[in-house]
Amino acid sequence: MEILLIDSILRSILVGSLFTLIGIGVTQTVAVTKIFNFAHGELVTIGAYVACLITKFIYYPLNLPIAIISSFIVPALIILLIDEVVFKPLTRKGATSLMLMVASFAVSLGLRYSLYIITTSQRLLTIMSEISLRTIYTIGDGRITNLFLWAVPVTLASVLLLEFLFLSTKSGKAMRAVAENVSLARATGINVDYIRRLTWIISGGLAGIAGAFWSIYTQTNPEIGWVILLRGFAASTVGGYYSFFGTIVGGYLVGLSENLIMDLINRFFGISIMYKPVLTFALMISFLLFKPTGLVLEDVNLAKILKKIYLYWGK
Amino acid sequence: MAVDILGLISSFTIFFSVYAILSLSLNLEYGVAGQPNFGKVLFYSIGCYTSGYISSVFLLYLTGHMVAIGSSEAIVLRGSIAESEPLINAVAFISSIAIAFIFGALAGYVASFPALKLKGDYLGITLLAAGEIFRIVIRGQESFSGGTQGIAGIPNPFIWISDVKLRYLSYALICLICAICIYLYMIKLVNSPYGRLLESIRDNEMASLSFGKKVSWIRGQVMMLGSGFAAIAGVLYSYYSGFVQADAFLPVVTFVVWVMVFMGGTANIKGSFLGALVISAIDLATRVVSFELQSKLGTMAFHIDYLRYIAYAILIILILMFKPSGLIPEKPIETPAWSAINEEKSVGGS
Amino acid sequence: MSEEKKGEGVPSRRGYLKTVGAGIVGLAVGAAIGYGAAPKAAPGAVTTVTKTETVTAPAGGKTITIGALVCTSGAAAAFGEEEKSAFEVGLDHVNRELEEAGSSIRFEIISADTGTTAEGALKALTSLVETRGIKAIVGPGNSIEVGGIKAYCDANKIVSVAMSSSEEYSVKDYIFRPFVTNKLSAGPVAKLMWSEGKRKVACIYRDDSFGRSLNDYTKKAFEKLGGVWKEIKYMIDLPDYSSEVAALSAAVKELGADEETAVFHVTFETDGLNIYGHAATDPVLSKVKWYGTTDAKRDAFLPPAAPTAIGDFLAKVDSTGLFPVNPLSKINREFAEAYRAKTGTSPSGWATYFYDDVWILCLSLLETEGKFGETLWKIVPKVAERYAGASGPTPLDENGDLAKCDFGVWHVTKVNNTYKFEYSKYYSATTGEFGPWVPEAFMG
Repeated sequence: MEILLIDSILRSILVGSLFTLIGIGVTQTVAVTKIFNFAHGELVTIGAYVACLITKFIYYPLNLPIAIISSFIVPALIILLIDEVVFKPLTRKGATSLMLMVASFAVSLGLRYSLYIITTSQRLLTIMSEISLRTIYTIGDGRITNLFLWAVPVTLASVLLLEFLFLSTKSGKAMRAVAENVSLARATGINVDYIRRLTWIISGGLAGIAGAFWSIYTQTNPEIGWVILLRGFAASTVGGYYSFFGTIVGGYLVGLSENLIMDLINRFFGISIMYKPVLTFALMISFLLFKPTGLVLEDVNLAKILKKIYLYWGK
Repeated sequence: MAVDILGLISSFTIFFSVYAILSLSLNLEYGVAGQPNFGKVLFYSIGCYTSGYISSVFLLYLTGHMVAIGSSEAIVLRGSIAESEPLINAVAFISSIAIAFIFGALAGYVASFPALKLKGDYLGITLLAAGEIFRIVIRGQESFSGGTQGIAGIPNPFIWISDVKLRYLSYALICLICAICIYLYMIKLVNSPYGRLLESIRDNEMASLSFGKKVSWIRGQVMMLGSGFAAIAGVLYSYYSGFVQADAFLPVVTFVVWVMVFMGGTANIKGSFLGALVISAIDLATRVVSFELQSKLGTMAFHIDYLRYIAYAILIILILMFKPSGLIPEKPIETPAWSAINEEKSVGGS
Repeated sequence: MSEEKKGEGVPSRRGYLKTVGAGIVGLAVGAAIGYGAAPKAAPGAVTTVTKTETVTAPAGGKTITIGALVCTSGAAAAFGEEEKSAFEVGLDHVNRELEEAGSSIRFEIISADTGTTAEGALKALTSLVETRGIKAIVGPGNSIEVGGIKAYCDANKIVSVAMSSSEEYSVKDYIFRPFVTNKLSAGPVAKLMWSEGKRKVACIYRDDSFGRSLNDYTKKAFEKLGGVWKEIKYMIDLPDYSSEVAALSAAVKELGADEETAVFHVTFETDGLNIYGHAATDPVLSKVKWYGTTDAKRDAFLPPAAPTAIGDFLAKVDSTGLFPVNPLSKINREFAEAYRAKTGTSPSGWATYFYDDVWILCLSLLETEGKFGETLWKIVPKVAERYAGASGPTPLDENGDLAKCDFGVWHVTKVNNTYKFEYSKYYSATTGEFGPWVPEAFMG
């Protein structure tokens, strides 16, 4: 089968952006709260539903921005509530991270089936966003769609904003401190509760935005988050659960593996595209086994890399 | 409304035994030896695929019928041959158990290698991903797993018993016996020096290493045992439902087993049994309630069964919240000294 | 009250309960807002919590209970909704007719969710049978679930009037499938494509037993006519299929992307919409005609349920397919009306069959006077032979599957911003030929 190279690359970038958004949420959560949150996928689903509903009421040109904002807010609020009611009390009682994982699985069950109840009683079980994929530009055999023009910049903007947050603001630095050592952070006077809430807001909000974009890509139903979840975890894993920059690389790598790399393998080795999840998971496992700290070390960040590049050029 | 007591007992016992074995195996790996296995469904599926394949080997290939494993001729033939020659089917069943255990153990050994490098949650995610890879790849191997159609018509070993209730009761008895045997074996294991060794590795690996214990090899052994037992559970289920197909082996199965382990109490062998029992009972109870409500309330805009899952979720969270060490907390190991002290206490020492 | 330092100490019971209470109140408020603010499905449609009257037989009468296995959660949740609605409409109609006729028998349905897995289906069935004494069911709706319950049904003589397209499970057993199987629809589809001048087809299909067998049968039929067939299969339940659509585009390009090239797609709703969305942005794929299955005729694919871009795409590629029809249009129309009133959408092909499943089972039970087991099993094929319902006549073959089926050929049209599925031809299984669509005689 012939391969559409540019199309493949563009697809990888688009899907990679979405996985990055989800992966960042996972990484932040694991780093700060030490919980592998299996309910993260449901936040994506909720974001998607919110975005779809908004687009049914509000029309162009405000529909997408408002949808994005709402799909940031709603999942963030929900996960904050869940933290107060489930995760925080469990952590205080000394639950191990595995117990929290099982608890998050229960939460995902509860959220998903609540969604089923709400959506089926409103005849909205499966819903499509009013915004649809449209080609804006064509580059060779590739197409740049309206989703691409929204999702990729928003992802990059979020990434830069978070970088700024972590490096320059007090809250960001406090977050990193909590991620390293909670008791020490508390001892230095950091309000751990506040940091925790901030983390949930960021990760829930980003998941919601990813859901909003995802709703343009495909039909929304209660299962979509659960299906995407493992790929979000893969992005996090490849990046190393404690490295923010690594997760970004991880997300795009997963996007590449599902698209470009799979296409190449299909072209040159004849293996059916059907096996693309295998590729993604194999990638994840290889990283876990051979580089468990992930792709990038914790202290690497965009500023340092830019500095290095600048110095190199200066020579 | 006629309640089929015997049928209920059979099906409950079979489902319960299968999950009890899974729960015991996971408790051995995690509760006793400290290795979280999030790929449990992989080893369970090995048992299922083995059943499908071995049953076909004995009933089809060895009797000279070379038909595709997932085809309709195979379904009919398996059934008819099993009815006319029950002995072959019984042999198939027993060999399935043995071979599944071996393959499960081998897979468990391989899966223990990541455990050398990874700890805790990372190991968990690795095995989860490995489970998915295995499922997708095997799904593509039609001649072995029946591919997307799966293998149907695996005959029950007691198919020669014409009374259906008796047939399923007998099978339920076999499943229960298997579960109890594994349970007794585990109790013995945990209370033996080997069990103490496992717990010491779980609690403080460094110390064990410094005592010269071959931690990695022991980890491998534990995975072998746990995975072998999980495969046996797969065999028991497959010969009951008669159907094996790759899409049944999703990560959610692993999660259900984890819930049972936490429910009953980690590192507590009795607890695994109890956890499986509690979850199975809740499952049945919520279904009965759902049916009753449907009868009384008529149909609603959403399906009542959704509430079942939510009730499930709330219950899990509540138990984790208020009984975090499980319904039965970990007990001290029954060493000879401990038994002696206990005896003294009960006899009347002050 | 001391300053609650939420550190290592045990949290105060009061504080915890307060939070939980606030949470529940918040959830309730949010739900109420969502409930009130959510858009209504369609004008005149019945939304909010609908309750049908609970079934009570008149004094001295008998209530026969049947079970239903529905996949209302999991991968096929959208189908599960249709199943449930169609079963309910079917039950309503059966009971209504019995009441009007003055009979003292009523039917009751108790359904259980299967989660679209084999184990879920088996658990649902065993609990229905053992705790409520149910001995006959309608459903399940897909091959995996059927596979899971087959052994149990056969052993316990539980009659199941179901749906599944996999011929691999098609043996003489307790599961009846009065439903258009892939064997029946493949030949006509191939013939349709050939008769419209297509000689090269690229097929994109889902890799489950339904998609596989449909692809295999249609490919065989098409190649027998002399055509060229390329296939692209995709793994089910993946989040995104953009690379598969790209491969399809490459395949179509290879075939020539001309008047003689067509796309045949075997998809369900979620994957279908994802694929349509990607294909709509692909210039190559928008150039050729698309053919689909019975499942491609769903209201979910056209506006207002779907965005206009997808509606435009389907109209542009003149999406065409077969749909089982019934010359006795009255039943189909009544069912479609009742279904629309209940759910706000037109029934899909599946829903029509589910409706008939209920009727066939209830009629059979009336003939056996409420007896189940082997008696029922013998009667069902006889009843199905003489029954012609919303989906057409339902003669069964020796394996209990549909033996013959007529089809209407539909395609997507866009007129003044209204998107519709319109019938253009009719296929008769008896003659094996296509004829003109005569709206008075047939129904859509």
